[in-house]
Amino acid sequence: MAKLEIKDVHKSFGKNHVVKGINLSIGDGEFLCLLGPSGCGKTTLLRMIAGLTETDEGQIIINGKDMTDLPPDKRSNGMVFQNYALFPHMTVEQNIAYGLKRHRVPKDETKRRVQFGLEMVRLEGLGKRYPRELSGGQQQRVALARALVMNPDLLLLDEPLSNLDAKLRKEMRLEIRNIQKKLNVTTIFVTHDQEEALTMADTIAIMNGGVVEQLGSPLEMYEHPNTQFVASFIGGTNLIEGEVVTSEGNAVTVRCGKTMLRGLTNNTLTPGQKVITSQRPERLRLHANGETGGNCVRGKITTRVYLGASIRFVVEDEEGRNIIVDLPINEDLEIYKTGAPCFVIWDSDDCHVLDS
Amino acid sequence: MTQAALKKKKKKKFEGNYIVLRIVVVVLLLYLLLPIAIVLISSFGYEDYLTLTPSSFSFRWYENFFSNRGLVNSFKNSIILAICSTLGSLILGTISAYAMDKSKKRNFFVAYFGSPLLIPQIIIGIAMMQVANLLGLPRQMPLLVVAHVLVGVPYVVRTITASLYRFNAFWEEASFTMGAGRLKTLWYVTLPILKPGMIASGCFAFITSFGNMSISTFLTTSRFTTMPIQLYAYAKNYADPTIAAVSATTLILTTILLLLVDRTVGIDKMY
Repeated sequence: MAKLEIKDVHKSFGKNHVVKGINLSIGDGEFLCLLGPSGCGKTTLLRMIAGLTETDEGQIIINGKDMTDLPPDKRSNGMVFQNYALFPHMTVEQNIAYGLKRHRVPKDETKRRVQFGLEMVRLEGLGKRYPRELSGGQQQRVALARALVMNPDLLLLDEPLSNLDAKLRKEMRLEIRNIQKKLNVTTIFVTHDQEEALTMADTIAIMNGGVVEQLGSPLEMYEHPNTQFVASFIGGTNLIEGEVVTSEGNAVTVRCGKTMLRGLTNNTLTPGQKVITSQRPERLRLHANGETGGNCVRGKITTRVYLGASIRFVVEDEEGRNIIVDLPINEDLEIYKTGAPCFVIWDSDDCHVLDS
Repeated sequence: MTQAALKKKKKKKFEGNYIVLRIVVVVLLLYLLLPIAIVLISSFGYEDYLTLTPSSFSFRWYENFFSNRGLVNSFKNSIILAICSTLGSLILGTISAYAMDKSKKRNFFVAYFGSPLLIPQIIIGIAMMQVANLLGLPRQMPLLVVAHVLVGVPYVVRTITASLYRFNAFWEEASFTMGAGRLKTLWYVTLPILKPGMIASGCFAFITSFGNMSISTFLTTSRFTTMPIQLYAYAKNYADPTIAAVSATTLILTTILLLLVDRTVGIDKMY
């Protein structure tokens, strides 16, 4: 049985239709990321699961029970807010004990669980402090502990890392993921940061304009994007417009101006259809002479940027398109100087053909 | 003149200014406190006029105050009135501030609720008197409480609006998700966070009500009156330090109140 089922859920604010019919199902212990740009409805969806925003249409089922019309205090979810929302008039311990007290958990048990929560987030000894005396990362941990000590059905995280600095953010990603696995708590994590989603999630739901564009594992999402939006939102990509020439099974030939590209698709395409091909910069190679067997475009290097572990080349091809190529540092790359002519080559496996 | 001497001269000039500043501050402090000191000192003096240098210590003016039924009754009335109107102002003002904080017309409402402070109180007094006459309301405690709430609410609304400005709506939502309903959230989260603002504005409302004369004048009778009015009437007939004893009693009570507030929430946290 799925832990959480969302069935055709809708939400409008006035004339603004924010969530337009979302269906999702999450298994026990799964870590799902709702990923998308601001205004895509991801936070609204999370708030509907928490019960903080009312659902216009559809159903939200948690543990097999229809929770759609229950207020937040009658559901048992743990939520971590973007600004943590720690109670300023309570100490760390009191903050963590708050939910337990409201549920009339016996005193000994409360004390034990607060201690467990503090240990879980490595804040032993800071229980008597007030939130204002803690750093951002520590406040974040208190908020996490406060949600977890309730043994919630679902752990809901609303952009919890966006107020932290870059280094701490990376540490907290791992920490949250480890705690989540240890407690096996079903988690929904809202973020606009694709790197966060890729590194943390079991499953990613990419949202755009109030719908889920694609649902799948981080690997699927990166290797086999279904739409142009997904391809460009996750990782960097080169998009080349074209028109289908032949389509057999999932193998497609696309005419992009004077260039013919061979690629793969998840969609059903018909000859003559306008499409977009997506190719990841790190899957492209440079070659001094043309090579047969794969896709090949002739061009000239216009920019060369050193990125530490790799070098980024921008190649302008004969039809004026800019193609970005990322290559790991290698002595052989010396010959590719700015202004040098070259060929960009890549396999048909690395050319994803998407509906335009 | 050498560099060092120039520097010394500059320094001296600066120090000179500093001394002037000190004198100004001392004069200001005296100006603020001396009149009150005269009241305090002469209330404990023997002389039957106000003086800073009484010949001997005496409680005779306090005895005079406590044996004067008119003064004692009006003092009691003023305390009851101040407590009731403070509670009324706090309840109405906090609810109003909370409601208007979530409104799109917040600025309009804040200005509207603050407007009684911009109207001369004597006009409010006259207006309330006429309303009371029209409706046939007796000039008794309930009418006075209603009138005083009118001037107490703006203080509360102003202060609580400022507190709510820093209030984070996620606090309440976090409480909901942890299993507390609206009432429990109000009790355990919202009110405790607003408490300093409520106590601060409550103090203002209390003192405003307790010392109010311009509104009360129009709403009291010769048999039902408040302390400031009774005090004024007394001072018109007698010049002895009984009025100083009443004032000193008020001062002492106010100080005790403020000390209690400081013990519980801390005066510095009130603003």
